[in-house]
Amino acid sequence: MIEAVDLSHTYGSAGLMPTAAVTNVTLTIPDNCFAAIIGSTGSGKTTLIQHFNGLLKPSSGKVLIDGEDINATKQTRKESRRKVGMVFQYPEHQLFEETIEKDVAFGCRNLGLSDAVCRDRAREALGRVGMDFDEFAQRSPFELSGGQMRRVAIAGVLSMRPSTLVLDEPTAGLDPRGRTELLDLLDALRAEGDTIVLVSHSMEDVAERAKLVFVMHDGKLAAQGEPREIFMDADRLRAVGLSPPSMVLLAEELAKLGIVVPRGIMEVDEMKEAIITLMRSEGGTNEQ
Amino acid sequence: MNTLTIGVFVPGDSIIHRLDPRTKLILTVAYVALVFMAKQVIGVALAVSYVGAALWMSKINPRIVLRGLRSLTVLVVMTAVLNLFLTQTGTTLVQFWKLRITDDGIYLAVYFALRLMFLVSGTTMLTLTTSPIALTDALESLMRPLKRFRFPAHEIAMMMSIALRFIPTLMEETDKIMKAQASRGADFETGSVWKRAKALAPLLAPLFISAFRRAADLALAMESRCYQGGEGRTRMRVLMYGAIDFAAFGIMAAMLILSGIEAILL
Repeated sequence: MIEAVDLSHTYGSAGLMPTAAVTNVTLTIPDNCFAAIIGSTGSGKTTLIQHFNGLLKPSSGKVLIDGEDINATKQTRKESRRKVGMVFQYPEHQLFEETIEKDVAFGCRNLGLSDAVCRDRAREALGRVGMDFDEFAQRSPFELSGGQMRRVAIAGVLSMRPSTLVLDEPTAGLDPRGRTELLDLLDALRAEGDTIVLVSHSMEDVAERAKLVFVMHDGKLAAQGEPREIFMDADRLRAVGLSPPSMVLLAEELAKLGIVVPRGIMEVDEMKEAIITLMRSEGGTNEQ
Repeated sequence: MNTLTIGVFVPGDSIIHRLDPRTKLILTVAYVALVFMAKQVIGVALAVSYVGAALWMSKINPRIVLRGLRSLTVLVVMTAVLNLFLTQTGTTLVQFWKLRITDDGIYLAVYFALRLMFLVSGTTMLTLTTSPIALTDALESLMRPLKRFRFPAHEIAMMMSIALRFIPTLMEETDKIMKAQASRGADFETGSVWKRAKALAPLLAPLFISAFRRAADLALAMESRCYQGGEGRTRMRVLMYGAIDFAAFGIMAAMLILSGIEAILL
């Protein structure tokens, strides 16, 4: 469980353009939850999540993991890096080793584990992101395609076996298939017991997968709740600079034409069924 | 990173901001000469009024300049102390054991400390009020006569502006990669020198790869816009001297002459 208590973070110092990036945010992400943090560019999402594994120290307030203040000592901060895996935007830019195996095992080796254990973990982590260990282990990460590089980079974080995975815009720049595969991977990880925190401005990604949504605006927590609640309120989303997911927009357009579908539909299939049901019943009335 | 104010540009629309960047560059060179010529009251007064007037007219928060000076504290104090104790000429004022403080020593200590502070505060006025792009434009323009001697003025100015443009990008990138590797348990801060040097590989390798990728991208972008060096190239913002520039030159010339007279008379 990750908790932020009255968390604020200010960049820069007094006199020279101080900027408050996060202001008085209090939130709780329960264990084994697929949470999402959304917000427009500059809303403080990235700054917020960098507190979850002690990369940034709060200017005021606290971050607790399982009830413990992660900034209490150097040790707790180190511990938080093991518990919370952080996948940055374009994680493929952090690859550096000669072979994929070495790169994936980097985090594991930093935990002080033996080569044999790390090799097993690299095999496991690569397997989880859908890459065959025997085929790829000894190849250079720089020979891979962009999508494959990203999966290797994510495997590099998984090799530390974090119980929580925080991902900053993980689907940016992926093709539709790569995007679905990545989101499926996150679903699978959650099913295995991990907690997932997804930072995104793709409302579709969030609407489809997340169970709990936090909306950031201007460094403050503007709203939180289930995706349906959050996304149904299209006007509030627009007010914080986000565009509602496409199914909500479609429902709005249909309403303008006098066709009212049930509120809160997020998925294409669900919408299809709703429209078909509506047309059937209308067709029925016409005949009578 | 936050305390670095030397070289920072503070955007604005003051008279100083609107001066031609070439004027500011020449004025700064002249000011440096002025500070080195200054030996007595008039010279110091001129330097004070230059910095004071520039600061006042630029509407920049004086605290930013003071902060820049603060980062020089060690250097200034060292210079002053060395001058104080190593100057053996003049009349002895205080003496204990083998250390002698003379009136010449005090004079030189104050003199060099002031000179350093004036040099830095005066030259930061240039970078505080001039954008890096304007500065390189000015350099290119001022170096143009050297082209006759096959000096690649445009190319050097272009390289400078590209370098300046990419400093923030690379700093951001460094920060991001450091955080990403720290998230994977990398430790950049503890351990022996050898261990720390080795710990830099996960940072430097991705940084170099990304720098080369950016260089290749930029080269491609420039070529696809038909960039072919400075030959026949026109500018969007043409540098032109205006009334305020001539006024500034006039005032600076007067200051130099005044300071020159003082230097000759004494």
